[in-house]
Amino acid sequence: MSEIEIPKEFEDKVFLTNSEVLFILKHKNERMINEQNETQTAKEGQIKTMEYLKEFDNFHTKEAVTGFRNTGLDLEPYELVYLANLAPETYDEAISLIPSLKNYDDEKITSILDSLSKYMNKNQDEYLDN
Amino acid sequence: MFFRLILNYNLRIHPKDLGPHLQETIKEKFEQEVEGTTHPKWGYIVSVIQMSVVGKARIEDNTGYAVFPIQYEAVVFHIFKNEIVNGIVELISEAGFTVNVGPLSVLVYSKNIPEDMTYDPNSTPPCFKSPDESRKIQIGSHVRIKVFVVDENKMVGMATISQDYLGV
Repeated sequence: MSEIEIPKEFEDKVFLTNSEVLFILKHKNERMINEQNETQTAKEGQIKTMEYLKEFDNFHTKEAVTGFRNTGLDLEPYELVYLANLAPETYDEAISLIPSLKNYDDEKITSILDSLSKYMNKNQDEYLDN
Repeated sequence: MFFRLILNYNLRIHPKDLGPHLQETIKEKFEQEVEGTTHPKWGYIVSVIQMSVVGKARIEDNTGYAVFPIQYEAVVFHIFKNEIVNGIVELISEAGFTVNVGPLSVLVYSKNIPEDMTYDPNSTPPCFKSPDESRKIQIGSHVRIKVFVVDENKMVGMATISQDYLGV
């Protein structure tokens, strides 16, 4: 089964989950509106990307993403983001999609999957100060 | 996947713009030139997060343009070989379907679709479906695909769903 190939130059880069990218883009749009800048016409790829991110935003709040990131500190950066984006529900599914997870204890992975499910389903009402 | 990267760029400004509002001109021109383009090494630049001029501008010999060295932080999109991603089905036919993944348009040809999923042109809407109809792929479906080749200049790629836990 052919695995993901990450070139060396990407290994130490900052990987972002879909949710985090959506926050960055929304924040930038708000800032531009507040500064009353003339919004430049977005390019087609940017529009498509924004629509994509809204469909596949699994976490909905920054706290949920941070919470999940904190439970996966032992993982490689790409493994954490991969899990966050693909959201596998079972251990078997996770291992099939991300074979490198076999390097960790299965209890560790199962516990990370539980917390993934928890943070994805976090009720927004719980974040009253946001 | 998406990344946050720090990159460099030389921005050329025509002498007529070297006056008041230069800072704004630099910022606007830079974003317009760089956002939505593909960096040859890192991928598609979705959005500039911040930027600054680092160092003195110099005048280009032949043209008289001022060249400003810019360092910027950007959100960049790049799909790795064999990366598994979610996407939205855009077009479908018996030959296969296309999937939107961010700015990328990915083709899944019928030979990369499991044999038990067949194309039904008569259903409303047309779809690929499993024998018991529990799995259906139609326009708007969210699918999980494994991308095995990408051309980042044209923003097209090819993928398969013939693997466990792929498809719908």
